[in-house]
Amino acid sequence: MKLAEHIGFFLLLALVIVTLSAFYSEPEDGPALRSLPRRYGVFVGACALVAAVMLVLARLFVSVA
Amino acid sequence: MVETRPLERRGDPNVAVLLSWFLPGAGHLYLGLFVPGLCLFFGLEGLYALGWWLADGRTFEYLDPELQSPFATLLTPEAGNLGAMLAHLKLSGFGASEPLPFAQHAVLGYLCSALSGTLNLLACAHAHVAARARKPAGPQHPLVPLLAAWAFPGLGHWVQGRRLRGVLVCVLLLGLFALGTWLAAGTNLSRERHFYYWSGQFLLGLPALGAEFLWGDVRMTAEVPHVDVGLLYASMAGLLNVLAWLDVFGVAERRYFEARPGEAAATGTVSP
Repeated sequence: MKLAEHIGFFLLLALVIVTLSAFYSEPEDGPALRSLPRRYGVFVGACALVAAVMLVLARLFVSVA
Repeated sequence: MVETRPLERRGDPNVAVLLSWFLPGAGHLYLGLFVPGLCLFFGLEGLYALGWWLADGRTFEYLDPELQSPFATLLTPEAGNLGAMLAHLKLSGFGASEPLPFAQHAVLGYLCSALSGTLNLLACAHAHVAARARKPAGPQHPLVPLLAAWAFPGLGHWVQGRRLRGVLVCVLLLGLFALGTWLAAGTNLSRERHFYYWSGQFLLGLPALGAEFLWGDVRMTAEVPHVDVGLLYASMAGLLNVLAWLDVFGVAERRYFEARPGEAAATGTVSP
């Protein structure tokens, strides 16, 4: 599977997760919807950071090349 | 959770929940609610027993051999009716040691036992509310929107008058489930194939049950390229629906208890 497909699938699932968690955290619809871009950015950014750390560690310590 | 005064209570809500979890109706009997307690006991235990009988007690045989342990079954919907699940394990374990054909109505059987576990969780929530309110309080019992939220994603919010939220929850979760089912080519609709993913998507309620009833017997003739993504999507739709339940129940119980004249002011409230 192509990398772009992986990223697309992840971004879609992340949107649903972030939206549901925003609704759970905010009792009012307005603030919940307004907080979505920030929450989505933080979630995707944090996941990208974790992925980057994992890739670096994999390349440094478990590379079979 | 909304706190109430001890004098207003029928009993300890945590004790009521633990008793109900282990034995449906026991929490209600502890609270002195005999008719609901007996109805829940016979209804939910009967449903589990029917499922056990239809599946010939072999539901947990679907687990991969390396995953078969008592703790593994705690991640199934049947764990919501803990006593029945433990009795099931004691009586039937993980099925026969040699391969045997499954019972004709095995699918209906495991749906009954899984439903019994899930409905008992709703009974636990009812016991918790009943323990904290000696008399009926607000205009709408918190179990009504919770039951609606379990039955159909977003319906609980709709019943509460939170229409926009209900529509968004419905579109997002049903869309995720439908996309997952399409990507997995319907293989997610089978507990035999994907035991744990199925447990997650079962929490989506009636849409997952209906889809399994209609398309759960798909025959595979080729490799499914995105099956892993499809399984993840469908399972996540069910798990995220639990967040929607909690949101619905938190608001419902706050409205229920705050509707009692004088009580909210006397006790203070704590948002969920």
